[in-house]
Amino acid sequence: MRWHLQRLVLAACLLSGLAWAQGPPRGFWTVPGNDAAHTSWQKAETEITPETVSKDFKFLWKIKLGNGTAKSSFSEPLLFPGLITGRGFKDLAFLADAGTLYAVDSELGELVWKKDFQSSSAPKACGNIQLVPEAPQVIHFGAPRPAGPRPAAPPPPATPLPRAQRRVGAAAGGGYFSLRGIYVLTSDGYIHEQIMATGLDYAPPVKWLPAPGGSSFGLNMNDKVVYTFTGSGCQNVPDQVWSIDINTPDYKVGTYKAEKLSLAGVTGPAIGTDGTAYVATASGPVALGPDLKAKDWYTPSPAGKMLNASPVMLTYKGKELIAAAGGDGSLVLLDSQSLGGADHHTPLAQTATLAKSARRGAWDSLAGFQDKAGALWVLASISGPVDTGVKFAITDGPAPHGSIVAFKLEETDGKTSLTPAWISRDLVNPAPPAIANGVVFALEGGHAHATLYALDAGTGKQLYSSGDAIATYGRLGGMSVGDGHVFFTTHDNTLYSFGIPLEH
Amino acid sequence: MVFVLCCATALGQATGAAEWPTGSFDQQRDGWQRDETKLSVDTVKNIRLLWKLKTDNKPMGMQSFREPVIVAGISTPGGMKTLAFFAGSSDTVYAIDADAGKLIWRKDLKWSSDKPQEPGEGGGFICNNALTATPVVTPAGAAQRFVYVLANDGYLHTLDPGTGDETDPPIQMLPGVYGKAYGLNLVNNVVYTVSGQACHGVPNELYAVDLANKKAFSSAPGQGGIFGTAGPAVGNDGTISFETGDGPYDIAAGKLSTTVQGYTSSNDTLTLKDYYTPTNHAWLTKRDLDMNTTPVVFPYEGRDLLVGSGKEGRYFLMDSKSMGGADHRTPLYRSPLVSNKNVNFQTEGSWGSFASWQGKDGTRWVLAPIGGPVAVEFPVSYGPTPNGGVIALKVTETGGKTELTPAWLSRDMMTAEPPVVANGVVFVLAAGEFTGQANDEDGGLYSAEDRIKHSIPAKLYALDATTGKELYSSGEQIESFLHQAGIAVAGGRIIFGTFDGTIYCFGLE
Repeated sequence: MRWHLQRLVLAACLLSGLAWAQGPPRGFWTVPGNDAAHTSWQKAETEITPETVSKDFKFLWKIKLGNGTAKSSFSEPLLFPGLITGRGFKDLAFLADAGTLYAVDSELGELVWKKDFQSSSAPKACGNIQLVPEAPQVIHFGAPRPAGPRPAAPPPPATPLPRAQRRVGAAAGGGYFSLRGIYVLTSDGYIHEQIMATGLDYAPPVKWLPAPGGSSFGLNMNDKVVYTFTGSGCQNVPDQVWSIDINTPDYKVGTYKAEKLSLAGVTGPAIGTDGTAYVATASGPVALGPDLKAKDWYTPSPAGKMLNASPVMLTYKGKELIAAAGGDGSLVLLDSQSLGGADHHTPLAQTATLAKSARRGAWDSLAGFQDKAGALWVLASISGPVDTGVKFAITDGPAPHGSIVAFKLEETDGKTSLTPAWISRDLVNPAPPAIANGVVFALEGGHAHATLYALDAGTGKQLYSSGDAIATYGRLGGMSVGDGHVFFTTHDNTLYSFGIPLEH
Repeated sequence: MVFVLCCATALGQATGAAEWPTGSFDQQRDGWQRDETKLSVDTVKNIRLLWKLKTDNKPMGMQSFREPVIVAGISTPGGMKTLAFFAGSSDTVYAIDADAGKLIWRKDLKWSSDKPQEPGEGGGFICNNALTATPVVTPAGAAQRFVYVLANDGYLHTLDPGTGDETDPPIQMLPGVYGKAYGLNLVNNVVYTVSGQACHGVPNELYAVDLANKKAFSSAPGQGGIFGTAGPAVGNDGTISFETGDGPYDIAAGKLSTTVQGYTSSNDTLTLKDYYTPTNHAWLTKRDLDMNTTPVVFPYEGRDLLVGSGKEGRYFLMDSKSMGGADHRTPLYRSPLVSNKNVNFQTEGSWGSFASWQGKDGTRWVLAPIGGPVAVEFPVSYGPTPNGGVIALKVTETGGKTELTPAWLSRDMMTAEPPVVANGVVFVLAAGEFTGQANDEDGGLYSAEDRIKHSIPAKLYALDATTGKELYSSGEQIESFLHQAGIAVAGGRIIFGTFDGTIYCFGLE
């Protein structure tokens, strides 16, 4: 998939000399949940470890964005480091509220540009603008030259696409230094492409969603087919999955709508390695083909109350597994080759009921990672108390308001199970967890103020707490992690950065 | 015939006349013309264009000429003359009568490598297949004087300054062709240079040729790009210094990117003596803020001090005896950010080389070009500098610590070249060059053609060395821009070349 090309680096020649390809990867976080699979796992992290987070991790900076009157917090910051611009290389964090897209230098905490999409004639938006940048390329200046003969000089860069031929999705040309685009879905139903370096329009926007003002959830992209879904009863826009193919000028739109279907989670469809899109519905996860026709599904039996969480794709021993909400407040693990077996009711593994009494509007999330020993872990943020029937090996006191829970995949006698490993301390309104190099970050939205915690990924042991360093509470905003730093926003539209400091 | 041969032999005649025999005037690269008597704070208002000469130099990419060298007392078929030597981008050397502005000779350097010459102008504006090293001349007082030119074939050519004839077979100095080398430095009969950008696979190293035995040697392993335009600086204690740009950092392997390095040269061997790596090395690498200037060396209270900088916009004061202290991370002084608040690798820091001079009151000054607005207050300034200018720093003692203190900021200048100092006057070229690299509007990198199109004609300024006050401007008299082509000052003349192949001489009648 295109997202897996994000470690593509190059032998490029700037005034500094040759920059070789085999450098350490950079901390991209280009969709909600980091990758198309929505794992929330930052695989490129090297600075953050259980050791460094315990002694070197700290508040770095904050920047107030917007007018401070927004009703919802900003979206999860998306990270695009090492972008070459006419003003130098920039590590950018992109985030948006209902009407404005912001690009912030994620090292310096300075606003680089902002783009206002708000139109006085447009209907009031229910949610935030949704974002997804195109796949990155990286210039790594500190990388050693690979062994063997010196490679030939790179070919001259391709000629940039003339401005008159630009359209949303059309490659900009110009080789490694071409303009990079970030795709933006605005509340009027149009998809825009902004030039990442400047925020300027790359091309005129394209109509995608038929009805304006609806609330869309997360953009995801596979081979230049962009996905989202709408719903939550906003502006009477139905719960529906949408795709648009920006590879071609006719911008073919696909849609999926099932009767009596409500879509769950806030990160939009997850995409598997074969391009299949997975969405969570009130009846269970559904797999959608390129034409957005349902090709497989899992329906829990009995259904009961289900967690409000988007599915997550996890690769394990050559298989693609899906962690999703199961019946009666449980989690299930599914095989992407056959979601629920022949009867669509049989998961690979299922936990006991986690959240039988999840309150209305509660917001849950899933994440996953593999530890250094190769074990697969599934994490979830749970709003509300975890059912006492689940026995975790490690606990950290009562957690009546919410928590992060961790399950470890175990295989015994050919049977796969999700073993409860640890449950975090009590967390009020926990954000989706994020994982980086053996550390789980847990953001408590809080009542008075948010608190960021770093937990040992294997035990849940608290390694760091931001204490009262965050001024206010957070709501509906996830975290992103990259290059030793953690980013999130609070309700007052302030973007925070905590992390391992880098001397400037 | 006998008469001609006799006259054509460049005997070492110590005339006492002012010269500019090497890049930035001397081996320390201080850009301080000590022998100037005509140009002064009082007289520079009378400067005018004395002559200009259009040559047939073919530019390569953006490159036309580097800094000229000026040598007095050269016997030519036309008599004894002061000559300005220009090494043109396409391997042609020009010798020009500095008084009359007449071409005395031109020499096309013959290709010596067994590797083929390439048509065209290389790739982009970096590896442009141009001759890029300022030549060097045997110091005054030598029995014979020669002009040394490093050509595109990687060979060091030895020319008779009076005729342009090659007096010795060329010596292969670089391991390959079209390596991008910088200002030649000649010390104790050894010629040194550095190379950057690894053009055509030529490693970024310190290169040397021992003129006594014609042996070439280098400082392997290759480093990050070494592209201070004045090449290596050589201190009074013999330490050869240069700065490296982005690249691998592996102390055990001798790869020291974004670092000031000091070498010794003995028995045709170059040995790393010391180095200083900034503590924010990771940040500099991440944002492509190479150290990219030629350090300047000057004596100070019985020791050699160095000043280095780069794209970042900070300045480092180092003791040659221990550049970075015991941990190689602690210089004598590290300035705050003086320019480049925008963290822009392309323009806004410091590029090229510096100048340094000592006032009659003993004050030691350091001058540097900057490419954009400043980030600190200067006690004396002349308005905003969105396009850059020149800064002057003083070496001061505060609480027992030796520091650099801001003194003055010049007027705004479009891409200031490294300044030079002569008799209380700072001369600086606003090159007019457009230095953008990434094209935010159309995408890709600006090509050499794009950058040429966006550049504007250069201007020569004379400033009061103690206040930075503008004393003279050439106005609209220069017709073209220039790319990293410094100026040479000697005998009341300021000489430089522009992109269009024209050589200008400003000065006093």
